[in-house]
Amino acid sequence: MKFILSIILIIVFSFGLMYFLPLPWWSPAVVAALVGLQLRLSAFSSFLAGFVAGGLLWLGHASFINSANDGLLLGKISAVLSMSTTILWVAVFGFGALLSGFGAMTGSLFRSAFIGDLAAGHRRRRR
Amino acid sequence: MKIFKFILALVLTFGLVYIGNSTWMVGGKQTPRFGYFLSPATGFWQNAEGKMPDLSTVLRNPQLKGEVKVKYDDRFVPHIFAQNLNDAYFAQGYATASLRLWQMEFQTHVAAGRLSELIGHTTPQVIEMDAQMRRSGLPRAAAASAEGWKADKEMYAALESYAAGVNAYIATLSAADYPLEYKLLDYAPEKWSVYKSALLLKFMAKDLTGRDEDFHTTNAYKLLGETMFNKLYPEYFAEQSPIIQDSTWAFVPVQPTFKRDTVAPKIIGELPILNAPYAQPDKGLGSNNWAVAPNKTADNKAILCNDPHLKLSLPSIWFEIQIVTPEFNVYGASLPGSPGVISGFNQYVAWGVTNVSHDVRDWYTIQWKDATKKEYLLDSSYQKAQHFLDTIHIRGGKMRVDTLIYTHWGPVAHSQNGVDMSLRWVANLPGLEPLTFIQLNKAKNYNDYRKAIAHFSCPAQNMVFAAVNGDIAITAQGRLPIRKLNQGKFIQDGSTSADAWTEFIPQEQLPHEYNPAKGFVGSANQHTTNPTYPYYYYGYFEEHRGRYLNQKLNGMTNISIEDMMRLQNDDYSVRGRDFLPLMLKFLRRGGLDKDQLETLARVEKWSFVYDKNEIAPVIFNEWFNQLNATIFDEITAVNAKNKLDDNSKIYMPEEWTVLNLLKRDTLSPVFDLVATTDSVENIYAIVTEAFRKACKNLGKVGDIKNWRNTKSSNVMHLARISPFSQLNLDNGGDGSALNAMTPTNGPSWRMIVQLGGKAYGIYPGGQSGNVGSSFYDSMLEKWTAGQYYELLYMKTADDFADKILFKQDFSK
Repeated sequence: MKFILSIILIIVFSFGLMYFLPLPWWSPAVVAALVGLQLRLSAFSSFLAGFVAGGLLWLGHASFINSANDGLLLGKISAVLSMSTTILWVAVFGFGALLSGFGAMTGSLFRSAFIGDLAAGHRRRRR
Repeated sequence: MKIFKFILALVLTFGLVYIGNSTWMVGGKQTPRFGYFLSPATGFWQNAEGKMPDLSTVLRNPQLKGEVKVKYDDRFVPHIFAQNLNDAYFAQGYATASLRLWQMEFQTHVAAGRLSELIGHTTPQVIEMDAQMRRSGLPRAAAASAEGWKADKEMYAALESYAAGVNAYIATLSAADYPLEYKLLDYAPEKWSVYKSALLLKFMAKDLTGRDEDFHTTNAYKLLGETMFNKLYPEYFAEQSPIIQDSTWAFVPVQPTFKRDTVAPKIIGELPILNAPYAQPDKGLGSNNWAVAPNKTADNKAILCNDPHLKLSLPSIWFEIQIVTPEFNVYGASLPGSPGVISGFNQYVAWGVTNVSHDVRDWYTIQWKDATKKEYLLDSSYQKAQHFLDTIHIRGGKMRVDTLIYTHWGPVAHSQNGVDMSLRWVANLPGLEPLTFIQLNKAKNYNDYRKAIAHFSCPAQNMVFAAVNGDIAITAQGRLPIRKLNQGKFIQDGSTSADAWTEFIPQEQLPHEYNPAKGFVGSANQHTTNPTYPYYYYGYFEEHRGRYLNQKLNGMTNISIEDMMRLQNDDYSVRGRDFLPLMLKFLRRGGLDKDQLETLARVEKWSFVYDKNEIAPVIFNEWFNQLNATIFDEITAVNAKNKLDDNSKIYMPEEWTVLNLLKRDTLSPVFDLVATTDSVENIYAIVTEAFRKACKNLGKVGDIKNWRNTKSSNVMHLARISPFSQLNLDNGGDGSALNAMTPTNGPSWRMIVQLGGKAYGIYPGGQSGNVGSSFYDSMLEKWTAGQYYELLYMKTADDFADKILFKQDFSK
């Protein structure tokens, strides 16, 4: 459940913030880190959630734009960069996926390194 | 351990961001910052527009006095409705920048000699280009012009408002909104200024007056000798049909003896074989314009036509716009970067431009007092030269520092074998060009037109004019030097003021026509006048189009708009009509083989039309080129013997020299081949030999590509990025036909205005400069097919509501 929630939060906040604010391209890493920090998934699950969320976000957003544009620009960019459109799509997915994946993992590990034990201590004491 | 894992993750994240945020050198090219470039939220995707983009906006700016409405029609043409002039130019700046920002800045970077800042680290050739540009004086001349413009309050306010509009648009941009080229080359737009408008106009002046054959011509004179030179390079010919055909000049010329005073090219003997500092810009930067009087038209209304031929590019050189204020309502083609409309019309008048093509660039050798180059000899005393340190910043942190040296002639722009040469160039003098267009935009009649154009100095233009009242006129407008015979044609002696021209032809004495009896005025870059004009000039003229235009307009009556459309798109060439019958006459058919006869049969049937599907024009061109090379084998031999290259070679004589030989001088010794010392060739042998060579180069009839694929015209992206260009256009035409298509140049804006009636226009591109927009080249196909759009001339902001896509509202 937390895994799915994590994906949704990363997508919604990354897209929403960048839609309204002129934020740099790497902002999704920060969003993912904050989500990773909050949702207390394991480092690997955090990475996976970020990976899926970031990849889907970049791929989905780009596909949406591309279809409205009829693929006009994609073909020209692929020619300019001498990359096939398939490789271009993989690169877009990969950048988005790794960016949020690494970000979420960093957030999660930050918690376990600096806050996680404290929170766990609270929980233990309450029990 | 946990901290270690965290640090590892952090390093991975930062590492990825670092990689994605850096540019890399791959195969000598710089990549974009991939993270930024591929991100759908910031990268190239943000430049991919939907089919019906909506750029509607509401902008408040303290610079504005009233409200401005800008309506964009279904071709993306902005129609500006403002309450005063400055607000209108503000909106023009904003609207132009919102569609053409990268182009505006790129062109002015070229003009300023600043390309090195963008690509100097990957493309070192541009550093030398920048240095050339700066040595030629253009960036400093633009700065001086902009400074001088302050004296005219109305014009300066207009230019400042335009700049404020551009900057208001730039202020709205985040990195995600930058035009695509900024993202690819990874840089950011800088602020616009009046200086940049000046740079743009100087850039146009360079484009149109940059050709000078002085070095080549000097070599020709030196190596061929005076007699041969005069025989091969005459300036006038029998078939000529100048812009102004009168031979009566109702004025007393100043310096009346000048025309007869030959300037002896006395220093030519002392000079080494010269190399021009750079390759000559292409010939063929020409244009057509004409106006016909009401009594020659079907609707009894004057019609004005203009099609400037420039290097075709994407984004397009022109930007269509309508500007409406309480004072005027103007529509036409503007240059991104300059306020107002350059070629267009308002309620009362219409105007258009073609290049005058007179030479206004001369070179003078400098004799320095000593190696410091601080003083130079002029007449019997030494004059002080000015030195300026000039720094070219190269991307990546390097710099190149040059010293720019100026004499009273102009900048020292070339140096060879220890001889420094100063460039005297009218484009380097301050001018008031924007004022001409600001005033033309609101002109109401012939007198307003004459007053407006008087401010225009360079590049000299044939300004054609028509008015609703039926007036038509044309003026060769610009600062044209009063020259002695041949003055400026060769490299001149800069140590004597006797070789200087000091004055320009007075405004009232510039060649012009007003309501001539022939019922039309027109120009196509041919000679301005016949030799009776009281002032001497020379230049780089194209005579075929002008001859055809005058002939056609003379013969036409009851002219409709469709007739004018056909004429602008006419592929008929006077060159073919001149030469093919003569070449056929001198061809010896006996001895031609079957394949050659087949080729001959195809070219014999040619109708002199550069039709895209025909092979006859291909055969003719090849034959004609071989004929030139065979007749003037003397020149090829001299070029080869002296190892002259593109920057120094003796040019082939003009085509009219060939016409003269074939028509009137068939026994000339020039027909004898220099390579065959034991025989004497005659005209029959030469024409036949040329035909054989042509057949050999062309192959069999079945192998010859049609004219479209042979000519292969391209519209290149400004930074020469091929995937952003349109290659091998599906059209015909030729530099010698009114539809003046060459591989790189062509009619960059076709306009037809019926005064008090309808107006039509089109250009080979689209209103948007964005490669990711469907409006990037949306007009190209129709343009290629010779079709037009009726221009949406709105009288109020609410007209044609069904054609309006969106609007922009500006207020203070």
